[in-house]
Amino acid sequence: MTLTESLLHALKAHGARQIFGIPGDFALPYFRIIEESKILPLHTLSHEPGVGFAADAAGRIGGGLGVAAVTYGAGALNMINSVAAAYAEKSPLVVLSGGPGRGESNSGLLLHHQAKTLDSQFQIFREIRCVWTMQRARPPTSRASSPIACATRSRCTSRSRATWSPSPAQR
Amino acid sequence: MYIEIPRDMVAQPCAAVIAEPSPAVDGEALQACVAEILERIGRASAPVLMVGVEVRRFGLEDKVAELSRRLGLPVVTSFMGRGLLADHGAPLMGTYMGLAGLPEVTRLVEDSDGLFLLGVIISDTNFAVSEKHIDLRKTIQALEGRVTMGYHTYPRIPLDALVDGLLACVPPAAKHFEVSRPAFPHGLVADEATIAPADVALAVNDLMAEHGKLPIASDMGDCLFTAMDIEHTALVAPGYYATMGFGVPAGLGLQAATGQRPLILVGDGAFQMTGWELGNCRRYGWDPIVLLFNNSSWEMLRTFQPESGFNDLDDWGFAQMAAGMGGDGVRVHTRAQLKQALDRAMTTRGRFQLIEVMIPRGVLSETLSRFVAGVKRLNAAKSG
Repeated sequence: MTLTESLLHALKAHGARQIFGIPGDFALPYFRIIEESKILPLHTLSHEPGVGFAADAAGRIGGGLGVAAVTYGAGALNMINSVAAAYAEKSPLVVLSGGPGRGESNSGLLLHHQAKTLDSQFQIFREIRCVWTMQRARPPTSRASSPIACATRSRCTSRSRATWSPSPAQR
Repeated sequence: MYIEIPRDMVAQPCAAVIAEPSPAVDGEALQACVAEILERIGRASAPVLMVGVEVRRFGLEDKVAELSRRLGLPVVTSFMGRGLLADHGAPLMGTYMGLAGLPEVTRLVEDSDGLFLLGVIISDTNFAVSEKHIDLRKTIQALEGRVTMGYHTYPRIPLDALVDGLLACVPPAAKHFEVSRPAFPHGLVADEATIAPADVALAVNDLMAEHGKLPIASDMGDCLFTAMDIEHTALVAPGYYATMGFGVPAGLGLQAATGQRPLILVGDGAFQMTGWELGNCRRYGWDPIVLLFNNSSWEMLRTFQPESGFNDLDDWGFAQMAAGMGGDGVRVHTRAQLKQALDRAMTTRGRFQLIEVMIPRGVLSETLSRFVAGVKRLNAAKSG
């Protein structure tokens, strides 16, 4: 199983019924896996604010879990307001964002869609990310919850970034 | 939660995600908390239960409805919690909106000596427009995994554990507890008069009485205040954060997630922001009914600052754009046209139905009128 498939299975197990998203070049590789694995249906919209709102509503209704999938920078930063709304109103929302690869992050070049540093996006999202509500979910709605939080906490590598990394045994 | 995936790692081998056990709840603390809540409610002469978004967030609507019946507590929702317990047989009185709300609901809440706030966000949109100051220190608040009452807090009491704990201590009531629910207005006069927001509420109530309830996604603005005059039904709306642009994409999210056809309430200002997402309906088979309140205005801003000309918007003719986007659009000016358009929309499946309701500038819902007057009065009192 690939990292993206593992993530998608976990999201589905926690109540996600579909993904709303808009790809970009940093997101194309994981969008390909979303589409080809058919683990969760993908609905693309036209502008990232709508992606965030649609995923928020899907998460609010019927004990679901909203998933908004976007690309790095120009995509994810377009969705800040929607994510802030979901956070403020305690809607269970997971944001997936593509990101620069490890190799290109060390190339010494500025990368497109980079706001200030490569971590700018993470720093911006850290203020409004939904991990707070996720951690507090319990059964029967633990569907919106902890394994993903666990995975990001315990398997986090590469500085403080909330990236997803393979399990140690398979590295 | 935010997860960033470096693009060269997407296909790395990875084990399945491991489930993390829920942290244990301290049973003795929970028991003490439950006992104190029941003691306070028992001592109160007019206890009231107010429910907020965390009740839905943690899937507790059935249990909370049962709890309110067992305790014999009248229930109100917060503004943000509107739509909660809509179909759960709870003794639901309506939505607390302070000065903007129904006077009987406002009195019930503000005169209560045992106000139990269950999962209610303590925000200005929920509480700032109180007729009478609510001393939150005198309430029981269960929110964000803790319970506060009097001058102390029980930390780490999850909402679901609290509700289960209360249910375990309160036996089913011998007598069925009911309240007289507020009646929502029905019976649109389908004549040649121009359309006010209240007419839209009437038309929707008539529609749902005939065809069954639809879940609602509402944007911010007078469309959301109009929703307060619509029968209790599932509702998603940004009632606290108050962003514009939520309604149309949220409606798409509702239909994708539940398969139910939604009703979308949105103003022309917000439709200019995100209405175009309707163009994605055809690909996915979504067919929401969209009631677009078009007064060519940022009308809610106008109510706060009437002297500003920038609140005048142009008339874009949205209904005409619907066909190219894969839906059907119709512009209605009179109450008769509104009724006809809604009836046709209801029986047309498979394409989104955009009803562009032309509303004269300055014509507000009753709730918004009361809300604006209340906020102005509060601000005047503060500055004076």
